[in-house]
Amino acid sequence: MSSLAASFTGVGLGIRRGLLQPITEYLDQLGEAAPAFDFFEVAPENWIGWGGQHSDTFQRLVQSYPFVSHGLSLSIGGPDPLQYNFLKDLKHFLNANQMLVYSEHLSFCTDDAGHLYDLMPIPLTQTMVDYVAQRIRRVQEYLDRRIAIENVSYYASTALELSELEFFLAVVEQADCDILLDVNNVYVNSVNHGYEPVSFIQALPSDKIVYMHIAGHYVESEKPGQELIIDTHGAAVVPLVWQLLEVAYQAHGVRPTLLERDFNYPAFKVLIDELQQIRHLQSVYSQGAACASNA
Amino acid sequence: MPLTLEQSLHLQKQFAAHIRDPLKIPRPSQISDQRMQVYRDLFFSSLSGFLDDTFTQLQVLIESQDSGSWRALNRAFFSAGAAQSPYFHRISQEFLKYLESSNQLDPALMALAYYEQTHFNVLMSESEPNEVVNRALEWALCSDDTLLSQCLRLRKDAQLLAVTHDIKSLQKVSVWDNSMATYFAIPSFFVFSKNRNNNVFSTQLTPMNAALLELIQAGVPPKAAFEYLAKTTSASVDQLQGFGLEYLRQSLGPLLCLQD
Repeated sequence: MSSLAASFTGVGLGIRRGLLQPITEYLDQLGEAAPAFDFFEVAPENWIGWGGQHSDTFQRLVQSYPFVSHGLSLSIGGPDPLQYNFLKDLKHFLNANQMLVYSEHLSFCTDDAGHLYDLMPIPLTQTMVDYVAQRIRRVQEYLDRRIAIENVSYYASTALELSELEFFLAVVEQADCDILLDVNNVYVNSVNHGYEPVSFIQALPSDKIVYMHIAGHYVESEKPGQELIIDTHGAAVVPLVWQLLEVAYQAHGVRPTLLERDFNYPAFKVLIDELQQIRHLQSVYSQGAACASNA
Repeated sequence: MPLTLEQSLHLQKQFAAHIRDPLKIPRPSQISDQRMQVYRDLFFSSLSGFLDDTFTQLQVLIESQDSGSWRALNRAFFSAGAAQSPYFHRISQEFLKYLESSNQLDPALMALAYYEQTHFNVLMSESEPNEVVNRALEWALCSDDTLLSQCLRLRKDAQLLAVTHDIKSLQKVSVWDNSMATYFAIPSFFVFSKNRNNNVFSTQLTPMNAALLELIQAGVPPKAAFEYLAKTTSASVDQLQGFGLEYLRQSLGPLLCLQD
């Protein structure tokens, strides 16, 4: 794991089908120059069982760049049993494509009847901490690797015995898993549920954070008392979220950081600018850390 | 009083059940309608987006019967909890299975659904490895005698489809009425394939060529296939063989390869 982790640094871009062509065109034009990204991320559920031209392009990129996987359908907090058929395909995908990290959302997307294909909030109860942590442990054991759990965006809670932060910390601790810190989700949730995002980020255990996400969102309502932001990944990253990324680097040190953009694609140059902004902040906070350690 | 595990899991199931069927299952009382609306909208628009992408003409015809009926059918599928696959690209296949089992579409529309799903399946199919494609080109050059005894199959990224209705005509109409079904009740046969740019094509086959391809796909060598077809038609084995071999080489050639 340590030799793999060594190649996992810098700036990443989430690959969606709609971005494959701009990415390959960008790389073709680049020639020998260094690209604006160091690694890619894919959702295994979008690539397992897909063939054709897109799959060929994916295979070419997998052979040239470090990759990580960010899952959507594991339903780690689901009320139904874990799907071992899916886990088998997933394990094969992760190993065959040398995925450096596998992460999933702290949420659920299934019920007794099947899949709902989007993420639902886990009741924030003590019994669910035990239940979810045990499932994460079983998945880690089956996949024979540590997994990273992401703080998920959510719009409502069915039960609030614990705060989101308490629940997240307790699950990570009990499961002994890693963290994918989604900075945009912290911001979205802090507005939607009225909490303070800086202290949320600062309270996370630095040694568990393997990488970070940053993304844009959609402001649905700014009416006082009814503020609502939807985590769409369909717009530019806003200044407040950039500031929170700085908070995260200050609190935990620089980590590999990935830009998520799922639709409403701008000119690819605009995404490159955002990737360069991540790199700039990484360089600022790496130097800061170097100065601090020399002092 | 902390909730038990059973109570927590029940909350999850209630939450999901409301998203699936908001008209029948009440929302969890502790959640505002504004917040629940976010989930209702996100989930349903994501699911129906996948179905819209695959079933382009089916949705036009269903919607032409009654405005809102396509979304109502999507909703019936979602609330029935009929989708088991963790893969987003299998949602349309799960929908097709639901349509089959619920038996609510006119057979003509069902035929169209099979056609559009097959188009999608071929779009996402795995390509054959290069060595198989190269061997596919070689077999077409061999002598008639050799070819007659070969076991062939369609490439993985090609598919044969037989349906009960005239799809090409169904694709041209924009308004559907179940009373029109008899008019379109003409079986039609297709072979789907895709080119290097990942564009999918369907070629309509004559019933005879479709029967030949079906036998070949089942592992029957061409010689035995021609003999079988001669028994079921008025044509002689020689006649069938004359046309058939030419057809295999020229028209189907690039889509066939030797069986392993």
